[in-house]
Amino acid sequence: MTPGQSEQAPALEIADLNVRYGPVHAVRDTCLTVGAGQVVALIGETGSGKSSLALAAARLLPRSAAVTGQVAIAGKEVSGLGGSEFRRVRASLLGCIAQDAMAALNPVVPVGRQIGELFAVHAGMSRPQAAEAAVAALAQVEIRHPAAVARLYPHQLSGGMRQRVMIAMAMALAPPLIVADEPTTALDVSTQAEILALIGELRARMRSGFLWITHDMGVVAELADWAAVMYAGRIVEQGPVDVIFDAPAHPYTEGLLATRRDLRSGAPGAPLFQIPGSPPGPGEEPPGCPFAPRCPRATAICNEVDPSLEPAVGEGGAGLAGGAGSMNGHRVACHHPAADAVGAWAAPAGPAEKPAAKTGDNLGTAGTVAL
Amino acid sequence: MTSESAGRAGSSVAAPGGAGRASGSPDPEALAAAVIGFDRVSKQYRGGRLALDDVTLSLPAGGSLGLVGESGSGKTTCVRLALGLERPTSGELIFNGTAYPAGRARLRSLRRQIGFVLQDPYDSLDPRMTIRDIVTEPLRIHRLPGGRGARGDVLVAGQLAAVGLPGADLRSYPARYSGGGRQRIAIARALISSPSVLVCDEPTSSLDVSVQSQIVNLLLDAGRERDLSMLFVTHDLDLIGRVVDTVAVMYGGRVVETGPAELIRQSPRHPYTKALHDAVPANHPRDRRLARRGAGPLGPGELGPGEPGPGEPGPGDAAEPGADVTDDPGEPGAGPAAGGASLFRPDSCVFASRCPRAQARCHRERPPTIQEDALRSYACFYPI
Repeated sequence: MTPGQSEQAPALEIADLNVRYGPVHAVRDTCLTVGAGQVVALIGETGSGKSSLALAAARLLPRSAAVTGQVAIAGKEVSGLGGSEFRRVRASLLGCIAQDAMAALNPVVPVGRQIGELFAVHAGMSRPQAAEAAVAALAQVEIRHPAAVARLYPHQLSGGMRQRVMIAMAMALAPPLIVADEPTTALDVSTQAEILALIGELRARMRSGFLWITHDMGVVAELADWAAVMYAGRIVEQGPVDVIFDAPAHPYTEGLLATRRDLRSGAPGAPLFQIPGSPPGPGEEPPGCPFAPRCPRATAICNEVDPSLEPAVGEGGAGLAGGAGSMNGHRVACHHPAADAVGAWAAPAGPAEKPAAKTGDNLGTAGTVAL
Repeated sequence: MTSESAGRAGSSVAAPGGAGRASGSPDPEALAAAVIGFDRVSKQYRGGRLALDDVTLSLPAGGSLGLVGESGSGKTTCVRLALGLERPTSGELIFNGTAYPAGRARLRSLRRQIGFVLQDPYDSLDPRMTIRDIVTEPLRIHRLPGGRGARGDVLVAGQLAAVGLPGADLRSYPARYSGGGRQRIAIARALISSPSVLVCDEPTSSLDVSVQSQIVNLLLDAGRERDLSMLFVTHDLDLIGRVVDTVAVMYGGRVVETGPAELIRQSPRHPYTKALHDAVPANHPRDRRLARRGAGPLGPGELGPGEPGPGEPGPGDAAEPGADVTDDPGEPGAGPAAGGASLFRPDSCVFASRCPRAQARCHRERPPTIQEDALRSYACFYPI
């Protein structure tokens, strides 16, 4: 299911990844590939395991996390490397963009010097060379007056500028993989648009692949080539981004897309489309499919057997996602995947049409279980 | 004219003929009839920051007014003023036709009328208080029955059931609840003193997508059932269009455009409103337009060093609901002030430096607020 067509090794290959924090199984049996130069969106809500997966790929998890499985970056197997060995190669293999740039940057060092350090340590440059390269890196992310900005401290920059600095650092050594953890979530919508434009620009120039964590389907639509949806520690659906938007097979993916569509097109004052209930809390592992309690299509089997990720062919084997599903890598973990574009939530009894009071009751019951 | 349909479906039913429209016009009648009115209000923080610059707004009884804008636009300052946490530097705040009272005791009685739900449910609930104590706190502060004792338990249980937490353990602590659960508790607390106004400051922006709709629906229901007037603050243009009748778009401490939510969405007049709309990501990959060369709707603009950062600290930090809030000037916020007053040019349009339509005049003259019709106004020399 390698999505990339290039002969280059994929930016990231994850196989059978599991992450456990004590009794909490945060990521289970996950396989994911980021092709060279590709943007893969990892979609999920709080507690879905998306950050654990990304941090495991970057080997940034604390020792207390038990990680098993294989991780290869640009064809290099890194899961077997020792700590110091990995630290030596890390900067040349991957860059990271954090959500909170203020926390990620050193507050007492000018940003130019922070970027320059990368060049000095990993590219063997002299101090003046590194300083010059840092200014160039800032220019690369379209910061005006880069030489002046290089002398500023993080707190002197706007949120958007700090995020640009983060991107400059992540891309400084042109690593094959960049892990971006909700880099635009904290930004204003216009600043987010600027950052997305910048990433679009940089992608055209560089060959880095991105693992882009987000919960915003709009950002996915704007940026991603491939989308993977996580729920309760599992990837429940993945595929080419057009396929995911046109023919989502998992009811949860359908619900996320419907939420966004409805928000924009619904009538003023009308109730918003909602997925009832809430995800299982950490450590809660009911048998069967973790989405079953919230799922409009759930049947008896869903409460008993946890579905595995299979090529999406639709229940009748002939749906929209059918034949193509197995070819294009579209996979879904669902006993009753959507066989057509109508989907789970479009039924007349869907939450959007339900009287608000009734939906509230639903929530309540689900809420007491899961909250 | 779509303005009729733009009205919140329930409001006209709940208050037949009574629900006026919110407005940004300096119309004395609208202000006199407003539940909450801002009459040419300015707010200057220590250090010279002008957080609000001559803002006129009115929230009519049974109506709903949305404030939309980015960090530093002044929307959170509006909330702080509306809640009586701060006093305006100039201009007047009006509650039900009279000026906000100056005295503490009378301000308290006013606050009883205003429930509020803040952005961060992790910050706005005291982690050491039980759910019961959190929800009944407004009753104790306002010396209403039910603040203590068994009667309170019944009241709280009913209130929690109404917000979708039936059977919740009254002696549990907020830590047991997810973000959505906490926001439900905050809503229960906001409603327990039977306020006539509900002020919501980004009530869903820290929640997951699938929970956001649930909380918004809960707020819409509550507003309808109780015939509340609602002041709703958000940076989410799609969301605001679903929740309120009237939207005021803020930028740099000024209201740049006001109108029915649907018109603001479909045919913005102010270039900033349009830019905000254009910055919203696409719904489908085939419509993508942002992640492309030169696609930034505002361009890298004037965001020089020292510009406002993200994540404006909501009043949540200082403003425990109904709690004994001092008139602490509070966190001035990450507004443009952080960068200096340069953004504020009294003799120009605040948006001029980033505006694709700006001409010389925009840089040396402040555009007056033009009343296009009864519902709609904007402050721009060259409207769209």
